[in-house]
Amino acid sequence: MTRIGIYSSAHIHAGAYAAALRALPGVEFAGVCDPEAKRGKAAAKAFGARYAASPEQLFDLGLDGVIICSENVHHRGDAERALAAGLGVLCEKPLATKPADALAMVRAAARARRPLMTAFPCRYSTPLREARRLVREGALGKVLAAQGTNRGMNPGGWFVDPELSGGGAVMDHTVHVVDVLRWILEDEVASVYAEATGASGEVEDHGLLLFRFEQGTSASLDCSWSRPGQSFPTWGDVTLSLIGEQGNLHIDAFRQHAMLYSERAKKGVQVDFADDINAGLIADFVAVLREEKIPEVDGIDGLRAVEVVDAAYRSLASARATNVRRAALGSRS
Amino acid sequence: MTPELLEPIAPAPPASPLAVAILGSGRMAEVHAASLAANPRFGRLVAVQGRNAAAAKKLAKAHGARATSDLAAVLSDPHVQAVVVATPTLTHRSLVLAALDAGKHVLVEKPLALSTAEAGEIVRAAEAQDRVVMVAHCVRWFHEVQALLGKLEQIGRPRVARASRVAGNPGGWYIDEQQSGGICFDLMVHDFDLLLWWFGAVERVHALATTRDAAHPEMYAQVVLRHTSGVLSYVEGSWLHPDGFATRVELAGAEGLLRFEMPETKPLRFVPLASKRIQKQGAEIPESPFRRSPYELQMEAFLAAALCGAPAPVGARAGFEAVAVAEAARASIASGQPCRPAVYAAPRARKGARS
Repeated sequence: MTRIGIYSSAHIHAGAYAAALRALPGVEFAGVCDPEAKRGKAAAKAFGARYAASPEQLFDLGLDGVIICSENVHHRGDAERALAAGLGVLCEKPLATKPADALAMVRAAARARRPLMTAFPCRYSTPLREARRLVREGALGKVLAAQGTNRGMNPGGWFVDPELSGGGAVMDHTVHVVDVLRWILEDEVASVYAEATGASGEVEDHGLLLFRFEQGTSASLDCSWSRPGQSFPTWGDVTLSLIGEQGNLHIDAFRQHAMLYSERAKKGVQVDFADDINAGLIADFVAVLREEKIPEVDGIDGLRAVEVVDAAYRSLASARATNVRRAALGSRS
Repeated sequence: MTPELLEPIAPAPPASPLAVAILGSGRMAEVHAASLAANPRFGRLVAVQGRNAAAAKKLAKAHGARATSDLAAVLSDPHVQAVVVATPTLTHRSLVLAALDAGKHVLVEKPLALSTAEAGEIVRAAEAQDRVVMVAHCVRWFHEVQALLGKLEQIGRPRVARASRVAGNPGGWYIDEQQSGGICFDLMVHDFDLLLWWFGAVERVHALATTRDAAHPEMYAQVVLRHTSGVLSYVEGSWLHPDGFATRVELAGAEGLLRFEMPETKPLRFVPLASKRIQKQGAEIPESPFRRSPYELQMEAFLAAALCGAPAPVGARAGFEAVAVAEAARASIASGQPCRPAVYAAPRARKGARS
């Protein structure tokens, strides 16, 4: 039996991870802890899980691993504490708000000899895996350019509080597509140009980014919180068009849906029938904790995405295309 | 700024329609000839001037006009009141200046010119003459675009715009940067014009480009614009999409979203057997069936402006601004850094002249 807990329910994805934990055979969803007790108790009740009053109480439930869904700025401290307690960690994205914090997490995992995974569920998207297979098999030849979108609704709450989130749409939505592109292209981002605007002045809620990869591929990303919350049929999207020497590949990762128009809802809604990406992520975390495999996506992947986000914010400050500063690491063990 | 819908101007029918000559005999010359024929109250085609004698003759004959290769003869003909410049962009500057010099009204294909230096000359000449110069940024008259514009206020304050225009390799002079300016000037200028029209001046442009063919380094480009109004725009232009022409526009505002996609808005889809498919050469012209085509509405606006002496809806200044964004995009592609588009500088008043 693999025992897993969830630390903090600040991030909305905690619910999806809880459902995935419940559905997995051989897994015990041991409990939930949250520094905000009221929020944590409500989450534990909703998830049908035990509530632990402190991280120590949660860890004492005999956990093998913990899923961290706290606010972005708390990821480092929360992950370091769990790793020091000997637990494997799956951390919500972005891994951290600053490259130094993400690097410290990667090093803490290496010191503790425990797995650190970044929650990039797109790695478990069957359509995106198929896209990667086609590209790696050479169906497109060299990928010359990419056009990506990861647009969503403004999530509000702590996401728009820079003290907790570290930034707005650029912080929230850059890392997914950057990770997918790094994974598909097997290349690193060399430089970033970013433009962003903010409605309230607190954090940016719309952003457009241009990337240049080390091997020359150019790419764009719309990371805006530009989907209307009340009237739009879904939360947002992940799309990617790849322009290759031998052909183009267009991916709409959440295209596998039917539409429902019901008088009981104010808008048409998407009825997804795609393979569940969150279930794939959680199943991989469990297999890693059981030492059956190495992680599909680890802390270094999380760090690399944070380094690109850092370059995007430096570009916003300077209005220049800005080089990504990558921390030097030894080879992955 | 709030852009206004293009209401059809309907002046009283003039005593006689405007006599128009078309310079050029290619695909767009055919479209403009058909658009003139669809506006018989306001205009009639009297001459087609082109280097390709056979094509000019064929087009002229189809519309009961005369064909010639003699540009000077057309421009010096006092009966010709207006010219349509439908030639490769390389020739626009000299043809528009010559036509203005001869006192003609001018409808010039987009882009206005190959540089802001050339476009600036045209603006100066147009503003010095009492003649209409209109740039054929036809996308403004597309029914999809007009539909979006009519609902723009429903999305609240505009925040991010996305425009995409993709097609197969048009070949010929289109992909020859010396003649067309390349994809930023020839294709993406449509979207630059729309975005300038809707969201105002652009203060910063950053662009990346790629190609499958080293001889033509800019066959696919992605451009990010920052408008002075604070709106951000993204434009994709491609000649690397062999599956045919498609265009998308999405406008995201503080309170809503507006978008359309072509060919999804086309109500008809004819699928001939593979053996019957015709491989078309040159630039694709998107068409959806309407009682009045966008090109016909554009021609009506030009003829009405020329007949009434009213300013054209897309004047030389607007043409200059779109060229300035295309020029800045190419400069950014070359430098790897954002560039500021050139701003039109009106000629300084001569010494002693009163302003």
